[in-house]
Amino acid sequence: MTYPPAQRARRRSPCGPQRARFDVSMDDASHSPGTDLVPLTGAHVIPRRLARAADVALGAGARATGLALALAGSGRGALRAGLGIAASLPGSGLARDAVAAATRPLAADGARVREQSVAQAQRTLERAVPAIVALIDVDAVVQRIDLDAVVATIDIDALLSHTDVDAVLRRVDLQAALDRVDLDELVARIDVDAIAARVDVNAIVQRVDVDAVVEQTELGTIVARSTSGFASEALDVARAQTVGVDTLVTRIVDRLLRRRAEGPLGPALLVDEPDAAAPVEEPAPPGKPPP
Amino acid sequence: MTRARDALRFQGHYAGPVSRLLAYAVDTFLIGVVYTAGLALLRFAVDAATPWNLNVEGVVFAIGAFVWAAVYFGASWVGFGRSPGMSLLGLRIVRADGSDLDRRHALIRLIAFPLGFLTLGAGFLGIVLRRTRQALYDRIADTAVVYDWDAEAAKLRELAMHRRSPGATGAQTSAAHDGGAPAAGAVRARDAPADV
Repeated sequence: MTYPPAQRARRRSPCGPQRARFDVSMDDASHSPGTDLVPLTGAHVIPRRLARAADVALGAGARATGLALALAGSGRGALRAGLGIAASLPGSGLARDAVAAATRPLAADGARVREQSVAQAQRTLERAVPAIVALIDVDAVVQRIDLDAVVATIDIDALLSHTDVDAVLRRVDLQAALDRVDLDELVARIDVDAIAARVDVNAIVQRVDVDAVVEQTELGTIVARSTSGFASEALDVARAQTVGVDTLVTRIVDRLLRRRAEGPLGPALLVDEPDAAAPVEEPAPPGKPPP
Repeated sequence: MTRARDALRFQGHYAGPVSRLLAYAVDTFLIGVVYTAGLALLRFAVDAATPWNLNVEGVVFAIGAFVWAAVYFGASWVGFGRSPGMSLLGLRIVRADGSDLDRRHALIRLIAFPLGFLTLGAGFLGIVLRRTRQALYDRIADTAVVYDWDAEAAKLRELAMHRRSPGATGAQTSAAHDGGAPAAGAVRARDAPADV
């Protein structure tokens, strides 16, 4: 993430005036100006000449080391051949034993020095690493990381395929989770009126078989006790039978009169059919549109 | 055969000739019984309370019967929109459009009603032949006769009767409710057409 210069300077210099003085003296390219990640908080200012001499010494040492390594690399084959020849000479075994005996104290001293050096380096790192970490601006590190790119490299499907969800769920204590849920509060937050407003009660009632309810429960008996007697039931049957005979007579008459279209069932205000009271029209002959 | 529960859907339909004929028969029976009984009571009262004898016969008897019938029909039609016989058969007189019968049209129907007889019965043929089941006097008075009884209560009574008597019909309906194959004739009320 890139910051404007003022903001970057502010982020690198949390200590204000000291940071400004350091910036003035560190404008030379030979000095490390620090980075966004490791601001030079509390660094000592080195005299320029001393720094120059140290750089020269380090440069000379680096070049000498490189030259020695190059020579050693080129002479490694010759040395290996010479050692092979020497090993094939008579008495080479005795010479090797003698050399081993002679170098054993040296090897012991070297091992001890190496262990001390490792321990010293370990102690040095234990002191240095926290200091280095303390110098690092973690926020700057995090902001330099493109989390989207990091996430994009993660194969979520592969990750999930390796995940045993059942095992995860088995470890979840649902009972404990439910115990922590306040159902009363949850229910109090539910807008029952809104839910009820979305329920089509008429549709539900339409699906109820009222006949079955009356017939299969005591409700029918209650209704019967309150409204009926033998005479009422007989009258119901008689009326229904009469309606049936009426319908039969009507069918016979319609057949005799060769009526095809069904007429109005009743007055318009009493039946649901919109055209019940409309005059009956004879069907139009084929090929002739109705008027 | 039409069950009481199936008759629910006939409410408001034009009443057929058989229902109207039976209703008229009941009315005629009631008119005759009441007229005869009333005349007998009147004769007994006159004989008991006066030295005269009340002898109503012939034309006077017929005129008296005619007047009594006119009062009978007129009062019931104007007051209730139906005669006692119609009430028994579950019929009601309405205007041709289905609205309630008012006094004016009831009186017009009452005046035109004898035309059915004066035409030697031809005035009644409309009840059989016309789709609107209107007799001559119905057309004059712009009225119609429809089925109109408390069929909902009748249906409940029939269902309750099946509940009380676990006979063949109850067993059939129970089988239908339990999801099993209903026996022959055990068809759900709302699914079955009227079996006439």
